[in-house]
Amino acid sequence: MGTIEGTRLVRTWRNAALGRAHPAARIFVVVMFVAFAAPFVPLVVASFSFRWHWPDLAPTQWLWDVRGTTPFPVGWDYLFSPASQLGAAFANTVAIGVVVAIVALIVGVPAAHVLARYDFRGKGLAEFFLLLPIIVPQISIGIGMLLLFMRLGLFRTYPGIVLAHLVPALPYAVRILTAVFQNLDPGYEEAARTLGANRLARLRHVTLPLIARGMATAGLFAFLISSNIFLLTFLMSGGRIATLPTMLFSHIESGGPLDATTAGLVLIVSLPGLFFLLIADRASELSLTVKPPPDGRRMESSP
Amino acid sequence: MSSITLTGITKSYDGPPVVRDLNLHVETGTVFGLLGPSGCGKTTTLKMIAGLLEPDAGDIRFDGASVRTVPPERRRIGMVFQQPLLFPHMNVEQNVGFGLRMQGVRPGDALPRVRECLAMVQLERFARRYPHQLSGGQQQRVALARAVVTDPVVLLLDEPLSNLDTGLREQMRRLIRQVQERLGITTIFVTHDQDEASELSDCMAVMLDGSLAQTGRPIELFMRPETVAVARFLGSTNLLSGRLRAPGLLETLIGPLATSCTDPAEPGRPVTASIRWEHLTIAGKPAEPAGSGRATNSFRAVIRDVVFGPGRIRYTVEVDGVPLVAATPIEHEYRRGETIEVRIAPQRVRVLPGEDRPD
Ligand SMILES: Nc1ncnc2c1ncn2[C@@H]1O[C@H](COP(=O)(O)OP(=O)(O)OP(=O)(O)O)[C@@H](O)[C@H]1O
Ligand SMILES: [Mg+2]
Repeated sequence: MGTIEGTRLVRTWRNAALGRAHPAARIFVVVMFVAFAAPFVPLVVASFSFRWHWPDLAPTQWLWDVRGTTPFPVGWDYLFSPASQLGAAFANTVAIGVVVAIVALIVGVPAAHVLARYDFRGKGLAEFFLLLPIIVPQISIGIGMLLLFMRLGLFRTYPGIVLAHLVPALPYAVRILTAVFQNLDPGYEEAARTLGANRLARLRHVTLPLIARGMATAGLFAFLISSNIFLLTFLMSGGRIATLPTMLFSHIESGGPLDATTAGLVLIVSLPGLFFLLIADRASELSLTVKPPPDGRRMESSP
Repeated sequence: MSSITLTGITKSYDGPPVVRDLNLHVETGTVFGLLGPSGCGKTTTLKMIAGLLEPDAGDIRFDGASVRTVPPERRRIGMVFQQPLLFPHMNVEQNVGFGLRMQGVRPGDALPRVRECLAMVQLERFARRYPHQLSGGQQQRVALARAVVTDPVVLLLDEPLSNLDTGLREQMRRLIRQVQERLGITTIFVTHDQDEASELSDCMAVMLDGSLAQTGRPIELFMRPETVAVARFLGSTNLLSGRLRAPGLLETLIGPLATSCTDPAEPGRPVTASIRWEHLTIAGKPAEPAGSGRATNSFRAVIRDVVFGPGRIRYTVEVDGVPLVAATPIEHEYRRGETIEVRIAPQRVRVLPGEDRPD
């Protein structure tokens, strides 16, 4: 899955940078990194430029050249001024993302457990429904939900946006968690059972600790999906609740060439993803704090 | 401690039953060895006794009381699975203490008992290690300690020694015996390994194709297998198809064979003679030229193969084109290609009903 690969990429990149990787792997990682980072270079430049026209290689006028001379702040100055409402959009994005992730886990863990462990009638149908939000265009889902939510009084509310975000986020989370459960040997739960653990104790002491990392990945994914959604938020918010993507689109909408403000906003919108990629990397390393002894598994041939 | 009784147990997964009409009784405090080829249903049977699988039919009783409605967590069993299945996020001490924790014993109060069990499997020094820091054999020993910590009344061991090398395996066998004797737990022990089964069990059974083919003390099974299938599975024996010519006389592939076994008395019946390797004795060079008045059950043979093993030499000899195996003490070495005479005492020829049909 993307995030898992992403964390692996970060780690591989670090290993390569530390010179632990095979030369070919190092070249590959460097190329990957460049391809990944390249689009950000002009964005960073643009976010500091006042005038940058094609075919100039560099801006002809930088922001600091005009600072204080414009009638209102531009670029980063504008974004960080109260007028931009960036703070509220950022907080909305994070809060909605966190709630979506939590709900996706609460619903997704039991659902994935059932999908991975049991055969039941209608299982194929359930799996198909999980694919549906990926197959059907978001706009059709969005319009449908909009009509429904208006009736239910969920239009222009946070719960409405969270529910809308769950439509694409939940299937992803369930798919990741299903794979997690498929990789979890049911023997651990059986062993716990023979040791006197009832259903709740098994869940608490065995199953949840063993799937914690998978849950972190699934939650992260749900968060990232939520923080990237434009269309559903746009429809459900009725312009009342702004998130980073809707804020960005309202800037692009206003037309004209990519100005410094929009470029800066694009960079900020990319932040949650990058931030969580690094968190995920750290988290997966933290959960490996118990390292095997350096000389392999067999330290002592006891007794 | 309690006795275990299974009556008419049948179980299928999706297809035909993998355990069929299985009956089994284990006396209180004894060790029952369940020996059988891969896929014959041993694990399935153990899991039904544990309650992890529900039998389709039949009853399971501990001390005469049916446990079919008792969930595994309340059956008071200890089980060691084919894989150690130690909880990877808990260290050795926490793994062993898990059963006590589930009973609500406080960690401080559980510690002495946990230590005691770890001492029993000689792993006190590893209390703080995590499972991935242990060898396969150490993990299996932790699994054993974990299974007995709560003083279960029934101990189920599913090939707990399969990952060990020979030396450790013998140690572990002694250990299991000690643990079992000290605690007096009624134990069912699954294994592929005959030595293991015969050393550990008071009573053992050969399981073939989902039911028990024969049950008895280990020595009885080895000396008096009742069917060709059991004899073939237990191995270390020569099986010769033939017919009963007269009471006490068989006609086999290698010629007439006298036997003191008179059980299937009707002449003409297809039978199989079973002669254990160690009962085929090599009597040195043939005294007379071929064909002239041979002694009873004495055959001319050519040595085809010689294999040294601990405590014995195993010869593959050929009698009339039929390969036979003789296991002898290490005292004289015959060479490949040598012609010799082999003898079989009539009381060592066991006659089993039916033909030998190797699959
Ligand atoms: N969960 C399952 N679903 C379907 N069939 C199964 C399942 N578990 C076991 N079987 C089948 O049931 C039969 C008995 O399996 P079981 O695990 O009891 O064998 P076993 O005697 O323990 O073998 P081994 O010595 O290899 O462990 C096998 O044919 C196996 O393929
Ligand atoms: Mg098995």
